[in-house]
Amino acid sequence: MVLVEEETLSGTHTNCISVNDVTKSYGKNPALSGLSFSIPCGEKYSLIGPNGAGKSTTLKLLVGLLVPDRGSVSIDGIDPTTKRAKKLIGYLPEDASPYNTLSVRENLEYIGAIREVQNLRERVDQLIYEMGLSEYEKSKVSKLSRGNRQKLAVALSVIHEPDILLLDEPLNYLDIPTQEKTISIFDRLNATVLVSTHIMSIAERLTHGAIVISRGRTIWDGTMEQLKQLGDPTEAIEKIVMRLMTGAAPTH
Amino acid sequence: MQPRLIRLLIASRFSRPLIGVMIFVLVYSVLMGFFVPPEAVQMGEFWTYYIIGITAFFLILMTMIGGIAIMKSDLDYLFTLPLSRRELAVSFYITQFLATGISYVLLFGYVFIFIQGTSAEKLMLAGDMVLIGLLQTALSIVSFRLETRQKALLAGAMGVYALLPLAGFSYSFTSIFTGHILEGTIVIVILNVIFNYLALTQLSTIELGFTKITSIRSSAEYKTTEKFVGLSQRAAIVRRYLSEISFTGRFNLGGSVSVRVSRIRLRTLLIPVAAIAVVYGYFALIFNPADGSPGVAVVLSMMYLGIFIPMFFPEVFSHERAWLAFSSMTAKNYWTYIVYAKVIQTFAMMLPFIGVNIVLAIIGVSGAVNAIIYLGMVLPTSPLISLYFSGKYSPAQVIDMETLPAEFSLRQLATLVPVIFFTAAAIVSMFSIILALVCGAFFITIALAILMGNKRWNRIVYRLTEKGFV
Repeated sequence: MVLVEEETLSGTHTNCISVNDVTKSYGKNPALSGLSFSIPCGEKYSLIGPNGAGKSTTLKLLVGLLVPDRGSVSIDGIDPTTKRAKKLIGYLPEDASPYNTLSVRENLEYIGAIREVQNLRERVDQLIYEMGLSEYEKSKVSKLSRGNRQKLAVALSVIHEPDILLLDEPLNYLDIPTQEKTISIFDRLNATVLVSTHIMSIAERLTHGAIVISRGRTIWDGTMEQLKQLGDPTEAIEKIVMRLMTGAAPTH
Repeated sequence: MQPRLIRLLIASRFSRPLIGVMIFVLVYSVLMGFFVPPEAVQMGEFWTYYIIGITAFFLILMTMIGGIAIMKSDLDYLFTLPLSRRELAVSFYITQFLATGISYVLLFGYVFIFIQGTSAEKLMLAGDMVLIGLLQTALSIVSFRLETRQKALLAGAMGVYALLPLAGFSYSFTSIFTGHILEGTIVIVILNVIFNYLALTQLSTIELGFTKITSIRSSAEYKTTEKFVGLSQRAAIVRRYLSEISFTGRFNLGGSVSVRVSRIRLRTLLIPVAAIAVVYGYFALIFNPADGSPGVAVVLSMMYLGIFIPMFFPEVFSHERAWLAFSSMTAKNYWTYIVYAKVIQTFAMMLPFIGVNIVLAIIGVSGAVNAIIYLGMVLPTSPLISLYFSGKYSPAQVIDMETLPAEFSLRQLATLVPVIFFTAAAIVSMFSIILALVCGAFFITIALAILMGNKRWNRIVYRLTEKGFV
């Protein structure tokens, strides 16, 4: 189980990501209803849940694009809307769209400049090469294929080598070689990672822990191994997760 | 099938409250045309210049920034239905007319106030105005397939052709406003036959060629790119926003159906602005009343600058990316730097007009000093006030620039609220220099108050996110 711990890993806080009894509604529609979990620094967790469970809302709260109606969220113990927290976070939303009115290189240089990245030219060159975007450097983003747009979005989310990565379906639209490159780029950062997904194979490839949420509440958290142990050895992990989400009894 | 299809297309593009407002404005315009006496609106012979100028303006606007009122869902679902091409083309044409052409028909009332003639001539003129609305619709569709230079050529040709009656030429579609109703009507009918044939042909094949059209409309690469390496946060944001001009009339009642963003260097933009300023100066000199009151050309020019300049800014929100911008910097800092850039851009765009007004003031043209104060103090606050209003009341993010980002809704008219303020300020500023200075001080105070609020900008970011911005 992932617990709120007071011992320190990153200096003063055990948990780099904390969500405490958070409630959030859009008008009359509740998105989160008392959601709580925390992730220790350096750990990699998946946020798993059905459509409409509140996964994307949780990430938007953690990145400071939304504020909770009740409860609190913190990034390395600080408010995510602060300048200090923003320096720590790398965020990739689902179906991310970079700036349509800039070229690929301009997008990276622009975000790199406002993130005050050191050695920006080298960093941009490196990401363009690694993501296979060399031939599209001057291309208008509006003319890129969905896959190339996603490659650029991945590069934009890691340009400042963040300590905490918040990723929403990060491998969408990517071909298999690019998926592998992307995973290696994420791994190289040694960041605390929270990946929102409803695809278990992606959750298993990117993380070793899982937080399962449904209807805006945490219903289970633990390691992937613990999750598998909730079912038969031969049982697909998707079926186990489905049972958790629907509240059905475990098979053993 | 046809009526149901038309109903579906209208319902998917226009909110009911907006349709209600459009009908109200149309009825109001017609009633005004019949019941307001010409002497109640003191424009004298200037009205002919005015209506011909505004007709040219609308045709140029629609040719340059028009598009096809098509949504992503049309491409994904509607075009896969077993519908005939003719049905689709006609239905799209009707919705396109409501989105673009109707803006011209709404001028009906203003024209009819000044028309002197027989009932038959008035009837013919009413029909002509509907036909110009149809021509405007057709041009917005036809130009969609063209490249930027071809569009500019077509728009320029239509603009010049529209202005020719001012030089005594009677075979133009706008010669209906200079007393040559029959000649003008014949031209309008011929142009409509040509351009509407092309438009309907294009609409009937749109499902087959939409992707191809959108991909050939502009090149895939930028010829010149901006460099951001080595720049501070502020310098990077200012450099980007100084080179981007966006314009749209998504709120309908005189606008485009798709969003246009151009990257134009400020010095390039200053060339056409300077040319327009010189034309303004010419008319201000001609229509300079002897009694010392501000001339109709000065008043109307300031009013129109007050209408159009604030329209350049609301779409800044539409092209922002919350996940990049606001996860990198605090909202207040980010918006403050954008506002710096846009205020510089606006002030630079006003400089040719300020220069012309200085010359006019030296010559002794009434209202020129008031205009300098309005252009130098009031209008440069419009980026901030317009941005704030659109972020607070009517944000819509543009992901795909070739399709309608959302339906036309009444809420988008909130974007026009600052336009009302700036137009009113233009009129008030013309009464006296003191009032112009008071207006300037008022708008600067409001702008600074908006800029200072830290929480205000954060709330806008939360609102944008809740509205689906990513």
